Amino acid sequence: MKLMSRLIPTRRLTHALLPAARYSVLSVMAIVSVFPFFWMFSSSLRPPQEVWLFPPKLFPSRLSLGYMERIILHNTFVNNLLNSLIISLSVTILAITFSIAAGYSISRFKYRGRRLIARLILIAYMFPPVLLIIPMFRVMAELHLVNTRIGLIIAQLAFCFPYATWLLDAYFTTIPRELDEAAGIDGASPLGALVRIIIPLAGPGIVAATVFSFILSWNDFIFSLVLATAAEIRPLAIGLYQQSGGDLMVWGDIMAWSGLMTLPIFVFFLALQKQFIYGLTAGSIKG
Amino acid sequence: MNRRAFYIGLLAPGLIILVLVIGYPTILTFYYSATNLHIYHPPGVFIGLRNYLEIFGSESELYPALLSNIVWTAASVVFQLFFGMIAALCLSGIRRGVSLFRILLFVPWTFPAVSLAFSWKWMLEPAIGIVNYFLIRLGIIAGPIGWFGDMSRAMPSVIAMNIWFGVPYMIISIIAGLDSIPADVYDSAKIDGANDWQTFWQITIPMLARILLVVVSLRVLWVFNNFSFVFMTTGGGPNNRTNILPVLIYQVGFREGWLGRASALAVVSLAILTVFAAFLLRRTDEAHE
Repeated sequence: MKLMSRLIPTRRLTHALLPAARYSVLSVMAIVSVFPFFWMFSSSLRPPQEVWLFPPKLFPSRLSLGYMERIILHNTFVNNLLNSLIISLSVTILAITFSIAAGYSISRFKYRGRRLIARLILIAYMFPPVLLIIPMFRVMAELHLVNTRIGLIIAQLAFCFPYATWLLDAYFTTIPRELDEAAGIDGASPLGALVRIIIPLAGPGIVAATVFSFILSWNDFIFSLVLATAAEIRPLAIGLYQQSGGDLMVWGDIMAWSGLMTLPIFVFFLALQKQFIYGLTAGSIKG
Repeated sequence: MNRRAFYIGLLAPGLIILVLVIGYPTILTFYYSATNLHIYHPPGVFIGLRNYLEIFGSESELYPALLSNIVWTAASVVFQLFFGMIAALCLSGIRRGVSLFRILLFVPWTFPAVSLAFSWKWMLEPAIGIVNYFLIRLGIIAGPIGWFGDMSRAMPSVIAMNIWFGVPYMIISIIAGLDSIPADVYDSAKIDGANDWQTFWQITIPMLARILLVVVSLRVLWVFNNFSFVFMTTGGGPNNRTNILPVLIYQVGFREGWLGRASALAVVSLAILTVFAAFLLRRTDEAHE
């Protein structure tokens, strides 16, 4: 009893302090987390000479689009952006089409070899790109696909397709089977059931898979580095990487470029938080 | 119509790509590793195990690279998990502002690798970088430090960058794990008189264990093979201090041109990863049953 009465005040104290402690920890972590993002935009949205100031100024004296203008008008940015859009949109459309079909097949039907195939797709998802660049470079060279957009699209597709399939397989499994069986009784073919029942119900899963395929392709560095060395087909990542080639790093240009490349993903995240979180956790929760 | 053919047909387009881009090249890696293939002189000559004898020889760059790779992977994943756990527990313990903090804490994950590497290089710039400025102002360091170019600080710097990038993924996964623990388990612990500390170690951690194992192994796989972060910030330098295996493979294969020898390094790396992959596959199999 004596012990209890001594414990109660401290417990009360910790209960009063705990939320404050939690908010302090979260605030410090949030500042560290956001700072590079803030600094990237703060550095690129200031008048050119202010980037070189020391001591550095946290905020620009006035907002200026000077660096954004410079990379858009006087650099390869626009050309790289077009390449990135062509490549990433093609990869996304193909990956989603292929993975809807594959996810439907794996999650809905029982046949011999199904588990083996599901497992192979999972292995493909875990397969490290860096271990493949050498033979892939040789295969693409034999097929005359080095320095072509098609070569890069095929390479990236091999890494977007497994992840998208994995997500969609997990999502399709949550849709009750009775629904497509009912469609089958009504005379719909398996393909009809996919188009009329599964796809409309799997909206959020398909959105997650689409966004992740796009991001995987948009962010790709290593395949582009090896397979897209020609200036005309370089995507944004390689165009940005090339900016560090000279003796002097033009930090304002580099930060403007980095910021413009990060922005679409950040906007996707703000708009589609639920799908993002689903996409990130589906794998680990399922396992 | 043959139903089985239809089901497999649905899989065909994706599988063809996987065979062409992953399956066939994997087999080629094993073959190349037994040749002296050079990037400018294909197809190369069969030389048996000579590449392997060299990379396992005492002069080999493999051992320092492996050691760097282990330090890089272990430190990154342990601290990602540590900070991820702290943030997730704090987030699950507050009522107001959860969604705001979730957005703020998620920001690092939205960076493409190239933007990430450059924004850190800029912050850690030796002469006019903002980090050196802050640290000097606070009296923590006396003069400017060349983080990514400094022999003893290059590895801690790339690891710090990688921790920063990986925490959001941990937070999200741990929160998902916490949400899957039924509330009545906590209620009955409370009735039994368990304090917060006991509840954490005896309920939260054991119930999170399964998901943490999967998340950590996925992370290990990914970090172990991460090429771009190190390649773009230190390039493996200074003096090979950060020359992890993936960067070494690229250097040997595409800078020096020895694709055969680089393939042998890739095979070694693949053997190490098979252990993690096998473990992960077993967990997912258990979940399916």
